[in-house]
Amino acid sequence: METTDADMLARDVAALYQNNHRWLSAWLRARMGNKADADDLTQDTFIRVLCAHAGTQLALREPRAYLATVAGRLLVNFYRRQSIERAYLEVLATLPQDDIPSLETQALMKEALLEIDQMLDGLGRKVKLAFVLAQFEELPYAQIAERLGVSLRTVKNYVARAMVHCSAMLP
Amino acid sequence: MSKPSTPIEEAAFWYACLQAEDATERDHCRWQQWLDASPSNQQAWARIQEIRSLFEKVPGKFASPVLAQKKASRRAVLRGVAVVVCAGLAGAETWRRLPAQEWLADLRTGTGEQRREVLADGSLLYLNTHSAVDVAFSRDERAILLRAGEILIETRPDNAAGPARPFVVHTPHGRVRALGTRFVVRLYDGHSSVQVLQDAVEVSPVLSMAPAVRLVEGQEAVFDSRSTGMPRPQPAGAGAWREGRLSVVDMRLQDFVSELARYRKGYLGCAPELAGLRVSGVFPLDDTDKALAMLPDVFPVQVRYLTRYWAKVLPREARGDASL
Repeated sequence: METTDADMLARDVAALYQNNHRWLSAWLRARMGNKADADDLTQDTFIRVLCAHAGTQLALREPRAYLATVAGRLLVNFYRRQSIERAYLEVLATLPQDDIPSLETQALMKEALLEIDQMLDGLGRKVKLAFVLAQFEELPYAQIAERLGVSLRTVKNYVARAMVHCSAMLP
Repeated sequence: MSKPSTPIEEAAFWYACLQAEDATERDHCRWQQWLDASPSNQQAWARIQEIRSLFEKVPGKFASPVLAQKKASRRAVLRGVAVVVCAGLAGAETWRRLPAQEWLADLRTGTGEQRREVLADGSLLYLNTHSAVDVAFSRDERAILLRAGEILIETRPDNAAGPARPFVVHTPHGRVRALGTRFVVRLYDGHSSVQVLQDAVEVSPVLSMAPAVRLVEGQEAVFDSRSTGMPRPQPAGAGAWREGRLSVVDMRLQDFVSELARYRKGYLGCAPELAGLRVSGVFPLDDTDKALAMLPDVFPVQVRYLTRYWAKVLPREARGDASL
């Protein structure tokens, strides 16, 4: 039986994992202070790398630097998700008892929030704030303008710009 | 404003115009004309609607505070252990030798009770379920002795004349010194834990000669009488019990049930085969039956009550009469 590309890839993958998974896991653990989360992110890092190289050869010149970059990006994402989740739970926790949504609704809203947050990522602070206040707080533009210390026209501009950004981010 | 050029830019511009409180009938007409002018405009508008439908999945009152929050400081969570000079043994002395006459109060809560106290200096003390503290304010120190359970402290600047007295929580395992702050201390059988909700604290185990360990906002750590564990990022929802809520992320069902059991009289258990299910969400603590009733919503479980005081989470029974 001949050696297929798939076999070679499998071998490359196994080698990459064996050579790197230990230090990467330790590296993440030192940053996260938590073994379970660090292990999860270690796995995610390898999965991410494998997916990025699916169908190509897995010849990494600087595997360490590359893995650390990927892991670092995942780490930032992880904290971002966590901070959204935390803020969301805080809001939920302040609701009157009868308004607490079912677990399913809680989970769906959380996913939507994470998605929206991702979509708004990269907007300037003021643009984002103006957009959130208009879209979710339903504040009149005049109030937003006052709060941000900008003109009405600028608020309108911000909202339009945020929408263009969202459209570009939407898959 | 520079003239929008692509259809999506135009659509976004129209969206922003029509959202305005001063949008007129004329704006609507002009928008309609724009929309009718070309299929690519209609496509672009459909895309805007698609984005809006995503927004509508979350009511604004939830979305706005979450999305508008300042970026969480990653560094604050990641900050390591800072070294602070403070002799560890001082705590042990206080715990053992506090003269009885200094105990001004003795506060307790029963199972399922919570209590809020304003202390003599204006600081707030919240007792969680089944907790007990002694308040021991002296000339040198504003001390709380945690005897059982869990407390949340919101300190205020010392209002007494003279040099400001430190605010300190003592447990049998050590002392937690507030550095202008909001924090939670909980007493377990063999150890204590502390979660910092705001600012910072210093932890000194009674038998440790090592420098006090400083914890900052967003961190938690456990300590026993010999040492303090590595500060870790605290789970989301820490301290939510003060609001009468249990707030968890990815907690094992077994742990979740044990947590809930603290607030219930009698027995509350969980079938071992369900122990590993992961629970996320916010639950009411003032009505634990209600909290339990939320579980079957997303898990294949049922809650079985033998009496008011005996409840167990069990796998849902397969229904023989289920029809397809």
